[in-house]
Amino acid sequence: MTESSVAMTSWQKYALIYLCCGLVFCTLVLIVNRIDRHSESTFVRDGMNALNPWRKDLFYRLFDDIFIPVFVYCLVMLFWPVALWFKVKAKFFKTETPSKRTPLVEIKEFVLSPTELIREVSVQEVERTNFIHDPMEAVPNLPFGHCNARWVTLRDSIQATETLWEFESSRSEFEGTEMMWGYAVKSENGSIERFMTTGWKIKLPQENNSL
Amino acid sequence: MTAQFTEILHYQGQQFSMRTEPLFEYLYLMPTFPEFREKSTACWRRYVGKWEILLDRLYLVGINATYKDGREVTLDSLFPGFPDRVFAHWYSGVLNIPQGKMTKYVHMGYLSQYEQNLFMAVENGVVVDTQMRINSDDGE
Repeated sequence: MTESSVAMTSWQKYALIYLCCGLVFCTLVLIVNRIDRHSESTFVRDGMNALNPWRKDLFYRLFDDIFIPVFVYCLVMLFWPVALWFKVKAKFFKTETPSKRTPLVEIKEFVLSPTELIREVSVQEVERTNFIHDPMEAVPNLPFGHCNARWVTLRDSIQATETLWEFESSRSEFEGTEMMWGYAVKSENGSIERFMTTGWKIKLPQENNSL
Repeated sequence: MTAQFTEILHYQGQQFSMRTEPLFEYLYLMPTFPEFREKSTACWRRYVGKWEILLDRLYLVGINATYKDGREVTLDSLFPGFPDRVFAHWYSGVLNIPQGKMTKYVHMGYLSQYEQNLFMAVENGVVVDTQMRINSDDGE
């Protein structure tokens, strides 16, 4: 056996060990994914099928169920250190995404004008007139029903120097909304900083208008 | 942005997709926005609500979501004391319900086009008006 053939054998051995590691890594990932899939509902798959009806076609299924997995399996087996790094990164260095969405468009702040205040009301009157009736009894027997917590927050924030008012507002900048009403807290100096919208008058889009 | 799962609506004995998300307004106004686990890039809002229109009223009758700690989200956990049905009186707006065959798939949000769109105006959870729009072949 010559020196070059020995060197070649060592190189082949290293390549074989590398590929074996890749094979083990791929198999482990596959097993973990299979276990996860068993514990999942069919929700995502059904949803994807509803979104893309052609996912049920034989050609698409062959492509999606056989070609893509085999291709990815081979790719990961060849470049398993990269895949391993991403797995470790996802497991131990994951950054939390904020749960509040950032609006895609800037929304103009809604400010109530004092001219939109109709009349001063008492807490007792508001609570008496805002029980929500439902024939299926799917709403709590509290003022403002499921939104009672919002009302309680507004009610409890009213200071001795502040008054509670009914408001009605017509705005053209909210598409589909013709009018809205609710309750606002007016401070001693006449400013309105807190309010709760409780009703809307809705307009359907005209023909050729999209929502 | 991937095409998004729609909400599910039961209306007049049939199941429809609904492109409006009436639950978001309720969740957004909660003291703390509930933390749901990510589902898929086809569901950025992380939940799918199941709705029903009965007696001209909009009801939430189910939700498919998981809290970040792994617990399943139920109606009772969002609306204590109401495990089966919740009257959506907080919602006012226009429900957009695509109907018929999909005429054009768009891999973005709710932009795929269908033969018709049913619009329902809802005021404080009560359906006050409906309109059917027939879309032309190009979806306009």
